[in-house]
Amino acid sequence: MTPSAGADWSIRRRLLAWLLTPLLLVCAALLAANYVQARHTADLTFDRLLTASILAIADRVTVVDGRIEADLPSVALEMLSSTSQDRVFYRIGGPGGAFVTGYRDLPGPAAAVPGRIRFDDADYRGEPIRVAALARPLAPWGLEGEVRVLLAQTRGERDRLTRELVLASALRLLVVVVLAGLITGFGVRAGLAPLAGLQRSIRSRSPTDLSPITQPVPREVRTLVDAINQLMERLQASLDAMQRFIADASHQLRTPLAGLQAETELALREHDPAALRQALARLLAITRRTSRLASQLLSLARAAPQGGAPVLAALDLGTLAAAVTREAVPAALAKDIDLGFEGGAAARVDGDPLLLAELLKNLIDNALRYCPPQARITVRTRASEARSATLEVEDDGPGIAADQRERVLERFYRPPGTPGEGSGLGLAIVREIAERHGAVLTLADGAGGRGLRVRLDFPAPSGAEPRSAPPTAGADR
Amino acid sequence: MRILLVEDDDDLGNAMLRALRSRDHAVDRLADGRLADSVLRTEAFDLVILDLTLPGCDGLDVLKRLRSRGSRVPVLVVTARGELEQRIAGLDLGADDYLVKPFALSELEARVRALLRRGQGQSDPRLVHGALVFDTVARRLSVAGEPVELPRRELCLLEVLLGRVGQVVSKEQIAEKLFGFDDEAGPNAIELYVHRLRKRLGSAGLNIRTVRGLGYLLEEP
Amino acid sequence: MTLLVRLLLLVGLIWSLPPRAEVAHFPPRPQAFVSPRDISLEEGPLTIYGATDLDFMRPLLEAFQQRHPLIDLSYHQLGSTELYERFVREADGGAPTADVVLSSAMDLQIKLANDGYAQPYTPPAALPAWSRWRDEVFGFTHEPAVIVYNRALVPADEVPRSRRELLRLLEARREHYAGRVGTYDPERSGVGFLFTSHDAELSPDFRRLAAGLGAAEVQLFGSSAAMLERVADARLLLAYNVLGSYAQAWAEREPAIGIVLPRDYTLVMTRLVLIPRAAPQPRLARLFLDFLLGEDGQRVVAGPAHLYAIHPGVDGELTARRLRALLGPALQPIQVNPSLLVYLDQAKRRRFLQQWRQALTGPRD
Repeated sequence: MTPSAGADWSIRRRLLAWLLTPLLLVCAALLAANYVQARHTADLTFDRLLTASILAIADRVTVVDGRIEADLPSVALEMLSSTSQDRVFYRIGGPGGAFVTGYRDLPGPAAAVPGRIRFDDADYRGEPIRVAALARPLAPWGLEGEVRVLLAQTRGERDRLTRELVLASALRLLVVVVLAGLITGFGVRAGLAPLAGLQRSIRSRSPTDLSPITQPVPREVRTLVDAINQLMERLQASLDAMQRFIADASHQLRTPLAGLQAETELALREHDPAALRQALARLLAITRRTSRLASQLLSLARAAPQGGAPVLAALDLGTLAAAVTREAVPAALAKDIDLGFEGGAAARVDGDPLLLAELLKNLIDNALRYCPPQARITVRTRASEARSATLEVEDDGPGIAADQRERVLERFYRPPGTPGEGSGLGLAIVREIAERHGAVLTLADGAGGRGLRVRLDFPAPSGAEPRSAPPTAGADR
Repeated sequence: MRILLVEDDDDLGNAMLRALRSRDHAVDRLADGRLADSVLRTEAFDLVILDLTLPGCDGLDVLKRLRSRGSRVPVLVVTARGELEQRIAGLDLGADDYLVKPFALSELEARVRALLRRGQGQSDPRLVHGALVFDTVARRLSVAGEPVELPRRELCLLEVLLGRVGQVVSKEQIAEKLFGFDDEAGPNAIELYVHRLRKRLGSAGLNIRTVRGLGYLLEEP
Repeated sequence: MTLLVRLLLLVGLIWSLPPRAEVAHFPPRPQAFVSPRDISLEEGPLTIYGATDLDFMRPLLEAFQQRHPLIDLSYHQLGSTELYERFVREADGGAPTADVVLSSAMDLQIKLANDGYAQPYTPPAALPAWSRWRDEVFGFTHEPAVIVYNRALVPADEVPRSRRELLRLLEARREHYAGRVGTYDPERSGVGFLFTSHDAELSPDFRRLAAGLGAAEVQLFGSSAAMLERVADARLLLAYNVLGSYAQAWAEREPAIGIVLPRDYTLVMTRLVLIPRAAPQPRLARLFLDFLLGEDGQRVVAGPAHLYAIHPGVDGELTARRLRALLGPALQPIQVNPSLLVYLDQAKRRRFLQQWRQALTGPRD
């Protein structure tokens, strides 16, 4: 009965097991004690009869002409046999073990104290017997020694009485066990009634109702309900976020689509091949913007918490950042922008590699988008003293005014007068992913007060394993 | 070059078909995964462009079966899902490159070009870069038909860069090819070789960019 | 005990021995015509040791075989002591022995059960509690000890209805009855000993009665048959403690025989039957006891066997039921239990017989 062996056992079954097993053990012990007691009682009862009989026999022992004679009273044996169906054996012996009459080989207690009746259990003729022994001195007849009377009967009636007594107590104990089982069963049902009520109230809720459960519940269930309420809260938040997102997304997608439609209609009216070509070029630009917006919206949806903590694994931020930067190099070359990477030592973080790549991609993308040709963008990873890692993307482009730095992190926000075809989602995605990693996002001026430096400080990895690489040999090379 | 395009969307499929045909490729288009699988069993192609979301049979299954038959034909996976996880899965199953919808046609053409070139490398030992032609077997270089002599290490560096045109090649990768395991050489040595190569072949249209912190990149001619 | 007495005892013992052990064989009779309704096709050899005259047993055995014609039935008639000794010898020695042992020597039968020679058996009918012990020994008859007299020679008004009347009659008409009264010799007869010893315990007038019988020069006999024969031919006028079953059988042939059931109390003995633990055919033995103790067998007991049925459901002249109706509480059945063992104790027996002899010759006042 190890509850761990049945983690899916019902509470009722657990309680029954925990209650009934010790109870049954106790009952077994009680029954054993009862058996001993009952046997003792039976012996006491029937030993009285043996006592009376053996005294009656001993009283009729006389000595005639120097020989021991016993005038066995039939009443003595009748006493033993009238109430029971047990066999009766007797033996009368003289001094020195001499045999006088009865069953010559009847075993009995070795030495009986004169005048005192001794009882003993023995086996005779293949059956267990109870033997009484009584010794009487022969001195009144002027003889040495004593006469020894053995009287025995089989244990049949005693055992029957013992069985009856034990059976009776066993029945009583059985009633106790059954009652205990029933009471436990009903008690559990009554005790779990609040849970059933809880279940009903949860089941009857509408699927959109995520308000906390306020129904009073027992203390033991309170923590469970609290956990459920917290889950509901998170669900509500996530649902709200999703609905906000859908509203935003549909609005943001509709605008370029409207532009697309208008441009297309205008292009259809055009007859001059040169003007038509220009219109098509505009169409292509709008289409590109729209599809970028669509994929950014997807990224944002993916980065947004889906409820529950993200699954983070230990990874090297430097390796990841280098790979992402490398991929972006052709795009940078196409814009004649100098994209570089600084970093070297292992910068360990707990993170989701796909999301972190998305984050960095957006940062690089942003920088490429707003920086003029000949600009210089640097991706940088560092491992700090506190063993936490830092990721930086620095450019020498136009930068973001200090009073706008908070707002650019909001979705779809674009600072006034921003050129190009940005969606205003890139930094929102970065912020979302940074939050999921517990990283601190800072926007600052770039080197020499020019451009923008986006900095992410990641918390120390939970594994807290010592860095495998030697400390920052050439990290700031 | 013979290309099999497996794409179930008619608008996109036809656009891709027209674009590739305009580049003088022989393109067949199929819209069904199972059909594509059976065609790939019997016909030989120089390149397969494979959409992942297909009726009949998933694109990844088509790819898996293709590779399990031992075919080494280059495969460009085109997916609308844009799922990074699927990119990983596709890589594992033996795709050679990826393109996430939506994409620019010019991007598609560039990738196709690169893949075809790579596939060609198997049969044709020559690497061509503008006026430069490098015979990887004979290890001979010529510019505009004129043979050019280069020291061994510079030739080796050129071969590495020619093999990855338009991609960043890290110093570590270069050092591995140039020096092997035993021959120790610092990053400065590589800078030296790059410098020499630029000097010698810059006029021949060889444009090697230095990418800070990442390595070098041979620009497209 | 003097040598003379021992000799006398020995002579008496030899004289009282029943006729030589006799075996009655009832071979299987597969060809016997029987009503198929009653027939049972049990077969095999069944051996019975009995201390009851074959004359009484034959109807029972025949009726049994009628129902089980394929059973090869042997009835060994033995004296009760001989039966006991032979059986114990065979059982202890592992020799083939009887499947059923029946005897009127209640004490010996009880001793067999007490010493563990019997096996348990469940009788088919509810027999009186006093007539069975341990589910091992069962009484199958219900025989009263009666006073028998010669109708021709004892006038109706003199017929004693109780022991006290008997005593008064013997005292009043000592000369007339002198030498013409008989009773069992407890020294020679087991049944006689049983009756006499129980009289000694039950009757407050036992010593006076013994003295009265002694004064009337009572003649002592080893069997009921001997007394009945003499009452019938008027050598005796009256016999005390005669087995009722024998008396009834005689009375049906000899109109001179009159029977009195003593009103003060009538001793009842029962023949005990048991299945030995060592029975070679216990299944057939149980079959026999089923018959013997069942209603069918008990009807034969009450009828042709003249042995008084003990079954409470069987009615008729020779039944416990009739006796109970006649005598009520005056019936004194001899209890079937180990108290009978005391009389097997030789010292006890010797002592009792000594007292009995003293009472007979007693204070001739």
